[in-house]
Amino acid sequence: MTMKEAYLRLLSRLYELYADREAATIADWVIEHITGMKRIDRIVHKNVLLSAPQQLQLADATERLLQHEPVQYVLGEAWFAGMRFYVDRNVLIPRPETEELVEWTTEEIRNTKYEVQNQQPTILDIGTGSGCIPIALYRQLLPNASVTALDVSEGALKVAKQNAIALAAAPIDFLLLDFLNEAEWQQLPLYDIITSNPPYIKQAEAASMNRNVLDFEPATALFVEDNDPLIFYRKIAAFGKTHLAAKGALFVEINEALGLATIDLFKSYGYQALLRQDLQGRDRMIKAWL
Amino acid sequence: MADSPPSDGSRRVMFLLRRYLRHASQQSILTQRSFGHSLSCHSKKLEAIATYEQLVHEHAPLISYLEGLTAHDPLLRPHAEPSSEDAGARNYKGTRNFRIALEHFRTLKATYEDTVQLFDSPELVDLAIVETDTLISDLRFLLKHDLPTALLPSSETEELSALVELKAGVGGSESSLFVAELLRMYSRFSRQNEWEPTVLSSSEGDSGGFKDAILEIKGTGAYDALRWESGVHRVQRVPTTEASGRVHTSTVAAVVLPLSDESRMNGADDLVKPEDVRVEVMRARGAGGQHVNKTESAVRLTHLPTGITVSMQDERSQHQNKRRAYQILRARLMDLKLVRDQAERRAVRKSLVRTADRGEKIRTYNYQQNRVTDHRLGKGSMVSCEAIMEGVGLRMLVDGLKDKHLSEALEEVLEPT
Repeated sequence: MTMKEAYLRLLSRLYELYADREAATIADWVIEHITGMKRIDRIVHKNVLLSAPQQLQLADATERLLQHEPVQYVLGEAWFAGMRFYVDRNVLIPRPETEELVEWTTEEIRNTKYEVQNQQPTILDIGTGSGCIPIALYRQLLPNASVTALDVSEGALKVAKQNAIALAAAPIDFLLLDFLNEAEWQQLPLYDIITSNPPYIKQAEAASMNRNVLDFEPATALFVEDNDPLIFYRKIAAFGKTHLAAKGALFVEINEALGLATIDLFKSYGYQALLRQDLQGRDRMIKAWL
Repeated sequence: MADSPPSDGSRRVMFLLRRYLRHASQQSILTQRSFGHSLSCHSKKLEAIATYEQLVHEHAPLISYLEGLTAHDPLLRPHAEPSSEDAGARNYKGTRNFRIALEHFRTLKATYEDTVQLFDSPELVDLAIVETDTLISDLRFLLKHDLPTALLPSSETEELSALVELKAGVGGSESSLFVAELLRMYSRFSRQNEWEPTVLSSSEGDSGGFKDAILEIKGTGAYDALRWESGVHRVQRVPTTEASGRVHTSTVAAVVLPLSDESRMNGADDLVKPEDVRVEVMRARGAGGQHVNKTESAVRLTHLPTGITVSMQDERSQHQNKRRAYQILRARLMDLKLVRDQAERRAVRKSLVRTADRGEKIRTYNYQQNRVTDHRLGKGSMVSCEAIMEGVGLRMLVDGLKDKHLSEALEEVLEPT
């Protein structure tokens, strides 16, 4: 089987599950992963044959993809802020909207010019998952940041630590901690910047979602109770009252349907808050400060 | 040369004498003389003088310019040493490279004048032939290359990397295949120059090859070397798919853009103001954030003041696509700026520096006759198809075009305003 045939065969199977362009991108990623050849090289060498181990790898990947498993888990990689993160079913797959949150946070930290005052901002990421937010922040602010990340899932922290070692030479502190349990907050110091992409999907919204998310991504990273969908933001707001340094700020990703409600919540805790849209024009992130 | 110090003259005599002795011992010329020899000596002398006069004639404007400088600027008199203060305050005329080149020019010229006298002594004729030949070719290089380079202000773009955009034109799949070949040619050429080529985006043609492609070439000097590649490249050959053996003519359009180092582009002189750019993502409509996991991450930028749009979808994440798109947008804006600056300079100088119009055919790759002709360089520029595709031939054309640009730019400087 040539590379071109392998690609077309995989593509035709993926059409059963995904829209055209999505299927094409997934097929592209899989073939590139297996052959190690970028698209341009594959076009030039389209008649190169797949080796026997590569064919087995392809058969295995195809099988898993047809079960609706996300391509990122199948390949064990997800790209975020220009970096390749390892991901598995312990962690949420990083989303482009979260890249935008990181970009905003980075800009704001740079504008604060901590380095001019000879200071290193301290940063905390709550519910870090794959570690994509703290690692990307650390890399972009290098070396002027001191970063801590916490998660309630031991499996997630393992993935995050692995990514930190691979991508940031590991100067990030990871803590296993149940953030919803306020008693645990005592061990934490003050932070200049607090970031979070906490679970924000209501159970009721699951009906409209796809199987690649529902059947595979960790529900604890996605879902909150319908009757209390802002629970994490309430806790973050309360935490900030005691753990945000002077002139510090919170940056959080939010449910697009709950923008105003989330803004109101932060205001009720005495914050000033700014709502921002993602590139699709949806309410997606909030900056809040005291 | 009346004002040159005597020490200079005697140095030259010593130099010639040494070379003569070396030459003589190799050739034993002191012992072999005949009558017919002196006749041919005379014609050799005339030949050398004619070549020299021709060279002087070709570069008359430059030479008279140099003489004019010397007359007006005491610093450029032979052996003048500027004080450090002067050197800092002066423009190109005071630069070290220019003074070195000028000094070199004067020495060569004076040595030539001395050497020509040697034709009159029969035992020194062979030496004279060899020496005048070397001197004239050194002078030619100096007049064609070193002096113009030192005289012209240094290129504003000499540090820059390049983006090469290729688009298939007329000729269908033949043209797409040629895009792929040019892509390979520029990649190979880049590696030979120790630049780093990366294909940023490409779209596949119907039967192999590419409809279009963007090649990033990272490395100092890539843009200055490749900028003259912009224009229409025409290929004439029998397509492999053509059973009748008929020659097809197809075209590929190339645009070479200047690419700045990203780390230097976020400052105040950034050509792109964030408020001027509309950023859009091209994901299908529907929910976003945690609700969906999609691989689609295409980004489109629109630069509102100019209407330039850039789309990028070949990178792995939205962040990377956006970064790349900004990079290409900056290159396009920088290109616009350079074209505008050049037009302004031209309007001031009223000279006729010809830069390729992007729709102009600049080069023909004729596979039937196995030769490539660059239409701006004319017949003297022909190289074989293999040579150009391997990069060596391209080097010749790139150098030729650079020299042509240099001499045109020099005309601009020499022309009285």
